[in-house]
Amino acid sequence: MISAVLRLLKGFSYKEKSILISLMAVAGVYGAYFIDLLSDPSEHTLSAMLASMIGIVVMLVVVHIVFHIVISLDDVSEADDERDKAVNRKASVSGYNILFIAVLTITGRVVVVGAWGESAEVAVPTLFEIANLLLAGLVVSEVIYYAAQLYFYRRGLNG
Amino acid sequence: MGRARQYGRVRNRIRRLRFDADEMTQQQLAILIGVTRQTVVAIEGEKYSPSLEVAFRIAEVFAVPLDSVFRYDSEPGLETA
Repeated sequence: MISAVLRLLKGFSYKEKSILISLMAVAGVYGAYFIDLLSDPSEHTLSAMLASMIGIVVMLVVVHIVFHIVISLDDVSEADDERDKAVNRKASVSGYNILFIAVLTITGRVVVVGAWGESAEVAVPTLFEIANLLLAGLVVSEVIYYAAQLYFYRRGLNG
Repeated sequence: MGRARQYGRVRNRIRRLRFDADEMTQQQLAILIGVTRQTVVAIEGEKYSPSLEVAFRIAEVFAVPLDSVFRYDSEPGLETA
């Protein structure tokens, strides 16, 4: 299993492997949460969501630690230099743009539906729905942030 | 099929200069200029244009003027990477 993972990541630098782990961990763990949520929304409440969030954070930490130990077996971590910072800056902008659009869209929907919801016969979103929509926006922006970092590391910053 | 580039790009002779400097490795150059080996790989592959500070440090390591290491190719063209 470990050698298969290492074979798969051959040709990637330590930094790229680390980003790939973060990307897959965030997409996988939150993806499982949202699939579970969408399969039976009536089962979920805000208090259940809080418990899920604690579980998700613990799982993300465990996945990060385990996989970073695995990639450290044949590679060493290096301190960030100016290129790492430039990649991080550029990728942050991509992630921030997605987060901005998500928050603006959700806020707009809440305000518009809250103001005219009853007359337009559209259900006003519950706190649970708003919390999950914001969480989804945050997760998508994180995924874009990690994916953009990988893209800039592989494709380069000139262009 | 390449992607159209609107501006020119910075070219460099680092690989050649390393070879001439007793086949200096990318890792050795990285340590001397204070960046990671991956960044030296990216600079050599023209996927990353370094800051002026790093560019001057590279020229200093090889004891040549800056324009012997880097030149600006102003012709727009196609990305091939």
